[in-house]
Amino acid sequence: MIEMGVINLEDIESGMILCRDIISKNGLVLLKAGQEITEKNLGILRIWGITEADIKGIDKEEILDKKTAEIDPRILEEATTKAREIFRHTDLGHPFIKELFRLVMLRLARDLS
Amino acid sequence: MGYRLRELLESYDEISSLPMIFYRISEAVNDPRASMADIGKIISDDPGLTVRLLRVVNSAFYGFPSKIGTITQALVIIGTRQLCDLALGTSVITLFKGIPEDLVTMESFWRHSITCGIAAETLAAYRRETNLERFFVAGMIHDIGRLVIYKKMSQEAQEMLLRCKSSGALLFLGEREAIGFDHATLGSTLLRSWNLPPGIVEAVAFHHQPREAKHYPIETAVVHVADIIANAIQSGSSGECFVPPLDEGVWEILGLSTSILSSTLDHLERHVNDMAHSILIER
Repeated sequence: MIEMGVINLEDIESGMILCRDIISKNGLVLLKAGQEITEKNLGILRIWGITEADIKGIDKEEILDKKTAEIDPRILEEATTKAREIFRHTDLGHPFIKELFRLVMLRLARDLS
Repeated sequence: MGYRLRELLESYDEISSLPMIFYRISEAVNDPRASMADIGKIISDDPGLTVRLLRVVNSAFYGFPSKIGTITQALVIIGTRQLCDLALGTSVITLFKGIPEDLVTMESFWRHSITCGIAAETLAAYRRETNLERFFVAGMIHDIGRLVIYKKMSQEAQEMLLRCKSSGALLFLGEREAIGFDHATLGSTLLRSWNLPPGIVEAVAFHHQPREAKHYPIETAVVHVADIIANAIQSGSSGECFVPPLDEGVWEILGLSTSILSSTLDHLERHVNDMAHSILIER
């Protein structure tokens, strides 16, 4: 799977353009490639348990960087240090651990601020 | 080593046997002549269990639109096997009393267990597994061996916990070093003696080395990953201070996208408190 452009549902905003069809687990095409996403669509995707979509011209890393850039750097540093301590026995290069680490770090930052 | 493990469990009268009620339920579930009403009657005979089960099935986690008022209703809506699994998972809590809370508070221990249970059930749901309760129960009791260690060897356990905390080591490795086996082996031996379903026993036995699970690799992988999530968000603790390492290739076995993690963590944040309240009250 190509990660570029595939972003989490929570980061998708109305007005973004789909790159690929969104298909439910049982094979139903929910939205077509090329379609512009509306608020209503987002609600439907949530109901169907869709967690990600391939969006035109979007880079996952860019969105994540933007999110962390919004955090006060001191809090960010404290949260990162704490998360690193908890995760010290894991391989942060693995995609699952990497995503879990990011989410835990964001939550720690939220609780700190 | 084998001798010591057996000795630990045998000398533990209180937990070496499950409450009678559970045997009666399993017997009825496996008896083709027993009706749903018979099973309902057996559960309803135990007021504590009835209250606990009704609280769980009425929690926001299940999200049924109307209130489930009786065990018979719960059996129809949730299913006999599933309700039996829930009865088991929640009655195990009542077995462990008098554990010194200076090691780990029981509140914190069960919170970690419930978090792991809900995480396991959520991962299984994303995989479109059926009978999700067995995943919940396996997650809920995965660290039960630790309670035996805390109760039977509180002195050694305390030293072990402190040593791991100060040196930054993983507790299950500390256990293997200090007593020759870990809580997973101990817990699964206990669960096997209770005749719990083999899928649950194997998932508990190998939740720190999931690739060794030969018969139920998915159940085991789910509990392994759920435990990592529960430790990462530090929702309660069974004594471990760190996120256990992910066994190679295990995340890949599940065939899930990492994008499910964000909503899984939100889901846990919403439901753990509620479920902990449902299960832990009047324990």
